[in-house]
Amino acid sequence: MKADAVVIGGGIIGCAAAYYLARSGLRPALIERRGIGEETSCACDGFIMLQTKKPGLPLRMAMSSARIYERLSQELGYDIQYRRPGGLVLIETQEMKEIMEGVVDRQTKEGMDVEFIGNAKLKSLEPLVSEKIPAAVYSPMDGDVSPIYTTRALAKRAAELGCEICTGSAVTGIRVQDGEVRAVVTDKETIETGTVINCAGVWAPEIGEMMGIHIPIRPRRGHILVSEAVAPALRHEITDARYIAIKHDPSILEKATDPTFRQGISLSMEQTENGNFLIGSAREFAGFDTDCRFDILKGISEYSTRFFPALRNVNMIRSFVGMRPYCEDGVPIIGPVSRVHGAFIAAGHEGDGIALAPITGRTVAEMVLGRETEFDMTSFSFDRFLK
Amino acid sequence: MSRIGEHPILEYTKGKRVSFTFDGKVIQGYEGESIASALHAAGIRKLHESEVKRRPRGLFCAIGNCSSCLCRVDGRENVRICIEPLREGMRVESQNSKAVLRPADPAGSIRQEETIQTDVLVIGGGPAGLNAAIESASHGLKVVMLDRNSLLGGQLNKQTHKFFGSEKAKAGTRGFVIAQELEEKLAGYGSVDVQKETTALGYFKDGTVMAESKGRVCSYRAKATIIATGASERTLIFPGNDLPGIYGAGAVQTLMNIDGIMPGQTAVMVGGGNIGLIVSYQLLQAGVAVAAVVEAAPHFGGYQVHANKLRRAGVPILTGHTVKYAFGGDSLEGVVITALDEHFNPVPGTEQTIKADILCMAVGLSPMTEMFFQAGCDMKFIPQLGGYVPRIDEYHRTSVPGLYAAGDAGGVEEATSAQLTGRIAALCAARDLGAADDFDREFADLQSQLSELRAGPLGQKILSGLDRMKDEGGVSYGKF
Repeated sequence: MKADAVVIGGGIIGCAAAYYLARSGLRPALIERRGIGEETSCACDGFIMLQTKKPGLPLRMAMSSARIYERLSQELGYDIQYRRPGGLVLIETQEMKEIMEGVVDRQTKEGMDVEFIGNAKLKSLEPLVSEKIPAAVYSPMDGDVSPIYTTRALAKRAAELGCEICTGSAVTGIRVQDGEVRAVVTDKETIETGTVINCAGVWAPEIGEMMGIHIPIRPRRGHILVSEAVAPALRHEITDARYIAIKHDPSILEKATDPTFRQGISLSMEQTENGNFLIGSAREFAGFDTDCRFDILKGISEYSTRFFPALRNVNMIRSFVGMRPYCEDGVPIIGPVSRVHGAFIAAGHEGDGIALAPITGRTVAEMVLGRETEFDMTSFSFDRFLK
Repeated sequence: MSRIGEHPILEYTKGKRVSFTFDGKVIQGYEGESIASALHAAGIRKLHESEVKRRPRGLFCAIGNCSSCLCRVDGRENVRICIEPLREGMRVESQNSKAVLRPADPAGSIRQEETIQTDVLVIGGGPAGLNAAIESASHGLKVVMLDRNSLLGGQLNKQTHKFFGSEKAKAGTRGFVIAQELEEKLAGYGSVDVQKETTALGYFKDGTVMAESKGRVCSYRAKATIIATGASERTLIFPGNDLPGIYGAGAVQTLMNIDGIMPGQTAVMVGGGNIGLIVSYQLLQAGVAVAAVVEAAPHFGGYQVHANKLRRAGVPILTGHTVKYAFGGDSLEGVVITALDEHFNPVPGTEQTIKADILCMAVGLSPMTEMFFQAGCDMKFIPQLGGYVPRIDEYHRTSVPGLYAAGDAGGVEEATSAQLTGRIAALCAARDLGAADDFDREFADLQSQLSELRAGPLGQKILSGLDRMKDEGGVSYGKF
């Protein structure tokens, strides 16, 4: 088989890349070891939250991505359940308030619509919030989507546009000659191509080794609890200041005294269309171990009821973990590998993969085609690790 | 519907008479019986409406497995009223839409209870679980046994017939008597802690089992955990299969044999295996007419002795037949059956309408494997054992160290073999913990009893299923 480009990985990033390549008129192939969206992209919540993005390139890309999401269902021809109910970052302590003041200040400068609100306004937006939560930051720009539907819709549309989707195929090698990509070898066939895009998420380093390059991504495990379905009770996408604080500065955990804080537990919560609550979160490095931990589930339960006491009256029916691709310096890698001509990486989004997928796919397709990208991507380049 | 006055075998011991309300209407029942049973006795079969299509819904499994009976009880949503004991003054309401979240006191908190440590944890107090607990205790081990019901014994409690098999395994004794005897024997060991009305929710890698007990979360950590969660009843796909009045055979047994309630006037039984034949006879004993036993295969699968009892009572056993559809308003009024050709296709023109208010499904069981899947056990699809089962070795060990399978949960068989596999799993766990002194002799004895039991024609199916367990090929599900 021959392909104009080979995308490795059938998660949301790989499917977005394949879609934008196919839409540009190329005939790409997508190689996935299992099925479409069966790993990280189906083990997460559906946040398209702008408030949690680091000001700078991540936030600017997220804002651009959110604009794409607005019309993506229509563009793809499949309903991906995109909604934009707005989001709240709940603030429990004075220490967290101070951290959020700095964050909000920088977000406002980037053009985001965010505002501090007190408990009275908060209670009017989310009646189930505890009276004990003094403040929150509100943004009408936050939304959510079904990650599974989105991933599958991107793959389906890519296939309709001529992309070859090869599921159940594992990449076993990448043939490089004279510093140029020549072919991708799978356990089923050899695909001749001059371009390969590594979208393998937590497995991106494995693919990198096949080209002799070291990619500093490792799995960071996140737990999510799923409740029984109840009547609509939660209107917004919810996180708390601790979630943002840990994300922006992981060293904060070492100083913490609260035991749930030390475990890396913070709040993330949404109610799905069917009525189930998805409640997180925790961040920990545990290799490729995908077992849930009882102490973390207890910690999440305990912590989330501080904000929403009514959750004590809900049955939890399930829990799962996802392995988020964490890149050493906390931002993804999107760009070419300068040592191997024709090789690109789009991986390492950690918890921002769903929100950033459309813009990542579009950007990497533009790079493959040698077109100008919307943003200066230098700070996400792979070369930053070569210095 | 009403209560059974006299029964040839059973005497019903009832709690005190209590009043409760269902959608505002005052109803009488007996304390301790399930809310669903009390409603049935009062002639109420429609428990609620489905959320989207507003179809009437009633009881199906009566053992807490399915979600067909969810109601609101004293303001609590999503209560399985088939296993919720009735108490004076309860306010029961149909729940026709999603639960509404109740606010809670912000000053409260989740009670963090300490993890209880034990040698052996047995999940499930049916024939396999009871035997596993007794066996473990007999080796001097500390045991905790969890069961989500208020009554131990699992499905044994509804078995009014005398068991077959070897005498060591209680042949000639009625099921509910075996349950009582096992519970008494278990109570004789001081080292066993029995937690009733406690549902195990998850197994974690460090050996912790999370459980829910009367609204609170608790946890246990054992050196060995034996999962004996049993099986759940299957149903068939046909139009109208969700009408109130269509029950699993086990549910009909619960109503009649535990709570002494007439499930209706006229029944059609689907399935000619042992469960279908035995429950049909139990329906007759309770005073319910059985219009027919319908079996899709060309021959019924159960023992001849059970079929003969039905034939003597004039019940037709229609092999090569199945249900085409069921009809009724708020509950079942009748079924249309059809003959099948040798390829199991309906034969046009053979439809018959049977008026019935009970359609009883005895079409097989599926192992309750949620805990095994969740624990990450290597699972294998083996149709002879009821579907997905954990891959186990001859010592009933799963692929997860410290986790054992016993009874129907590890492969659907029947109650006598469940008793034996419960003991084998516990004996092997005891050996792995260094507590089984005379392992070889006892293991050989239990294995020979099991082999004897499986020597008959019905045992062949199990043996061929167990053969597939050993072969490495086939469809397998587990960690990648």
